[in-house]
Amino acid sequence: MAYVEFPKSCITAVDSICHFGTVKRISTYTEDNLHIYLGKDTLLRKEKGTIEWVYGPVLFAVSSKSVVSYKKNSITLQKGKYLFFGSESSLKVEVLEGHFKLGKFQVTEGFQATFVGSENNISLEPLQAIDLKEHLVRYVNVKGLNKSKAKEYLEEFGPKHKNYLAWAEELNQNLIKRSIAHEQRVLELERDAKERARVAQEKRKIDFFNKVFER
Amino acid sequence: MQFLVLTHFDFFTSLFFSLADLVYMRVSLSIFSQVCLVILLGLTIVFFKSENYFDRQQLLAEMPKDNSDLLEKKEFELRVVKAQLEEVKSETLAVLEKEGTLSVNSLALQNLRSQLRSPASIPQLDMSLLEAEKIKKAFRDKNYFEVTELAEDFLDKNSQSVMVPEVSFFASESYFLNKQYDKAIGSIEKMTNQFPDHIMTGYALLRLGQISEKADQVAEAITIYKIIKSQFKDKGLVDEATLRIARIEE
Repeated sequence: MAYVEFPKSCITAVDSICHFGTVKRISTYTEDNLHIYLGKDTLLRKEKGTIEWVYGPVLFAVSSKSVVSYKKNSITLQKGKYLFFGSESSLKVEVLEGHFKLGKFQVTEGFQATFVGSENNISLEPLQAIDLKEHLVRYVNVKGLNKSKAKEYLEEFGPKHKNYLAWAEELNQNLIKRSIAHEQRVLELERDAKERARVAQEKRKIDFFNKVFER
Repeated sequence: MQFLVLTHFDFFTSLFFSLADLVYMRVSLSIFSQVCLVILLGLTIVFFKSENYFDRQQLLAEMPKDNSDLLEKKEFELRVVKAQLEEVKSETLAVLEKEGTLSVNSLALQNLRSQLRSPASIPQLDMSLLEAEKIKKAFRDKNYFEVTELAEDFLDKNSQSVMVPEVSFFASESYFLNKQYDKAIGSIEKMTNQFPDHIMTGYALLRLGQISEKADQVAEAITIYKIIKSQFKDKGLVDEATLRIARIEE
């Protein structure tokens, strides 16, 4: 056990707010359905049984649906693996397996999500595919893998990553198509409105001339 | 301590020589005496060893203990306190904004926001323009040594700034005016590699041509001026390069 607790031995206490994390060593922590790998320089908070991510690289290996939080916002993690990292002001999550939900946002496997904001006011920056090189460095450091284990992981993750790139490309294409369709729809509505205004104007003119003629 | 060591040493050597005398001078001794002497020798060695052992133990006890665990705990506590402070600030800001206690433009609210860097996506202020302005001012005041110092510092810290070509130009000019021709050439070469189409590079190349002229490398100077004529579209630059070629060829 290389993680540090504050106050002392608070992690098992039920009704206290407990901060735990690492400074210069990596560590692990297991609880119910959650196995947590703590990289160097991390801080987590446990309050009323819920673990809140504060900062630092942390890998959550979830065996069945679990809830963690970020700035009091609940994050529902389905069975899978999620690598959290970033500073206090922004949370970044790489979804290695499964999918998770934070408020109205849902992120699936292969994507990296960045959340910015405060309590009840979280925004999601554009999704991107997990960056292979950066991910490998981060993953190896968090789990403290040796050279051969790291190589094994690369062999396992490499082929999956190709799919992720394809998925991200597909997602972007869909978003572009949707955006074009939305703009076209807006243009159509504008055109319809103009047409209706023109017809109404014509009608007013005709009415006016009719009135004048009748007179 | 030194005295003690010397005493031990004397005793040990005298004992050793006595034994050697006994053996080599073929003095007859009973087996009992020989055994006694060997035991005495053994005890002496044990005494020396044990004394060193106790000395080492005392030294180890006096050495400061490894406090890395304690330090780690303290460091962690500090981090927790910092995180809690940030949280308090964040919550205060949220409450103030929600209740509208302070006006949106109030200084207190802005201070709190800037401390929290809220929203987090606001990029840091780019101070490189201010630093570049200082360099320009020093150049106008003809403090060329100051310019080179400031420019080197600027280029180290702000490699991505939009002001890099301009600052590099001021640096190369100042090196030239300080008669540090090698550094001037190095700086101009960097500019030609990094910003080949920037107008400042054109002006720096004019200076490079002038340096070549000073070194009686006329052919090289003409080539540089011809490069300026062909690569840059700025009329002032092209005219200057043409003029210089004509002057050399006269």
